[in-house]
Amino acid sequence: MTIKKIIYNSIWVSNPIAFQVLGVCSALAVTVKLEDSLVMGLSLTLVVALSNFLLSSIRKLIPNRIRIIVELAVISSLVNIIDEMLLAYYFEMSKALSVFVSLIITNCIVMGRAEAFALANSPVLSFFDGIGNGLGYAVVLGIIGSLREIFGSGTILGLKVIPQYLYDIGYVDNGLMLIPPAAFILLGLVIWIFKSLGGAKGE
Amino acid sequence: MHSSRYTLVFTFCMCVFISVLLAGTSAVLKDRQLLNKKIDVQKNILVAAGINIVHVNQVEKLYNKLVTPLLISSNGKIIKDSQNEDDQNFLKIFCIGHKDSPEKIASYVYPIKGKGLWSSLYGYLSVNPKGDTIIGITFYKHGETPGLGAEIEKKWFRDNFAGKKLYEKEKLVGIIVAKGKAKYNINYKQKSQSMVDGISGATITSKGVQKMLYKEPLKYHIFFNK
Repeated sequence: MTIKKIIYNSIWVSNPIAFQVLGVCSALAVTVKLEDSLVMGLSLTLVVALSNFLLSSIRKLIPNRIRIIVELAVISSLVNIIDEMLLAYYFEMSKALSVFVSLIITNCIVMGRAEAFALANSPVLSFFDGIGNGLGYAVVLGIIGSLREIFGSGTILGLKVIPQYLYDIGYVDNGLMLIPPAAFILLGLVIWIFKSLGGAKGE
Repeated sequence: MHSSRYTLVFTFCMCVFISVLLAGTSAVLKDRQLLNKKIDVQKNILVAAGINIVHVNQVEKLYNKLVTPLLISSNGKIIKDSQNEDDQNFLKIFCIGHKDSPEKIASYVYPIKGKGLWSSLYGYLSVNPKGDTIIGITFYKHGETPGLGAEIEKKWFRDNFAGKKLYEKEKLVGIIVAKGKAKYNINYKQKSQSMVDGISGATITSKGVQKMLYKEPLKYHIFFNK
C-alpha cells in the first residue's frame, strides 16, 4: 500500500466520519464556527499521526491482552505532554486549545486507528494513516462548520458574508444551526452526498 | 500470545516509564508555566481595565506602574497589611491608576467567579471608581464548548459590557444577559442600561454570567458605598 493510496482512502473511501462513523460526538460539539472546526481538525490530525507512529513502533512489544490499556496510556500521555509544552512555551495557543484537549483524548478516531491500523502496519505507514484520517475528519468538520456558520451567524471565519440588505428586507439567521441537532442533520446530508458521489464505501 | 509473566513485567515497566516521563515534564516546565500564568493574570487585569496591550513583554512593566493590589475586610475597610494575602475573610481588589498620572484612580478591578454549563468561569471585572458602571470584563479560565459557551472570552461578547450599569438608583441590579440579541428583548426599552447580548445556543453559560454579575458585585457593595 502506498502513502498516496492511504491518504486518498482515508479521506474519501473510508472517511473516519462518513464511513467509519468515528469521532461524531466532537463533530457535533465544535462545528458552530468554522475556525473552531479547523483548529479541532488540525490538532486531531497531529495527535492521531503521532500516536499511530508511537504505537506502531512498539507494536511487537505490546502484550495482546492489555493492548487497549497500553493504547490509552500512550495516547493520554502524549496529549498531556503536548499540553504541558504548549503551556510553557506557547501560552496563548495553549489557552485557545485548552477546551479542545479533553475532546481530543476521548476522540474515538485516535483509538480506532490505533486498533485498526497502527498495530498491524509499519510506523511510517501508520503515521500517514493518522494524517489521512485526521484530514478526512477535518474536511467533514470544515464542511459542517462553514454551513453552520454561514446560515447560523451569517459569517464565515468571523467575516460577514450575508449582505446587510438581505437583513433589511427581513432575512433572519437560522437559530437551529447553532444547536447540535443541526449538526446531526447536516452530518446525515454530508454522509449521503459522500455516498452518492461514490465515496465512503469502504475498502 | 505473550506469557502472563511478560504481560506483568511489561505493565510494570510501562507504568514506571510513563510516570517518570510525565512527572519529569511537569517538574522541568513548572517554573515557566507559573511565570506564564502570573503574566496572564496581570494581563487579564489590565485588559479588563480597558488598557491596550500591544505585546506580552509590556505586561509586567505596565502592571507594576499602574496596579496596586489591595485587600478589603468584610466591613469595606482597606487593609494595608499584606501578610493576610491568602486569608479567606478578605476580598481582593486591584486599584488601577491613570495611564499618565498613576496616582489618580481610573478604575477598580476585582476577580469574579461563577458557574457555566460544564465548568466554573473565572474572570475579572473592571468598574469605575464609584463602582456602579462596568468598564470591562475578561474571562481567563473556563471549560465551555468552543463556538458556544466559549464565546464568553471573545471580544464581541466582552465589549458588550462596557458602560453598562450595575446599579439602578443606588440599588444593585446586576446585568441582564438577554437571550440572543438584547435589542429584540421585550424589556430592552426599560433595561437597555444594564442589558447585554447573550449567546445563542449557550443559554446556561449566559445565565451563569448573569448570576455571577449580581453575586460578585454584591460582595463589594459595602466597599463602594461606605
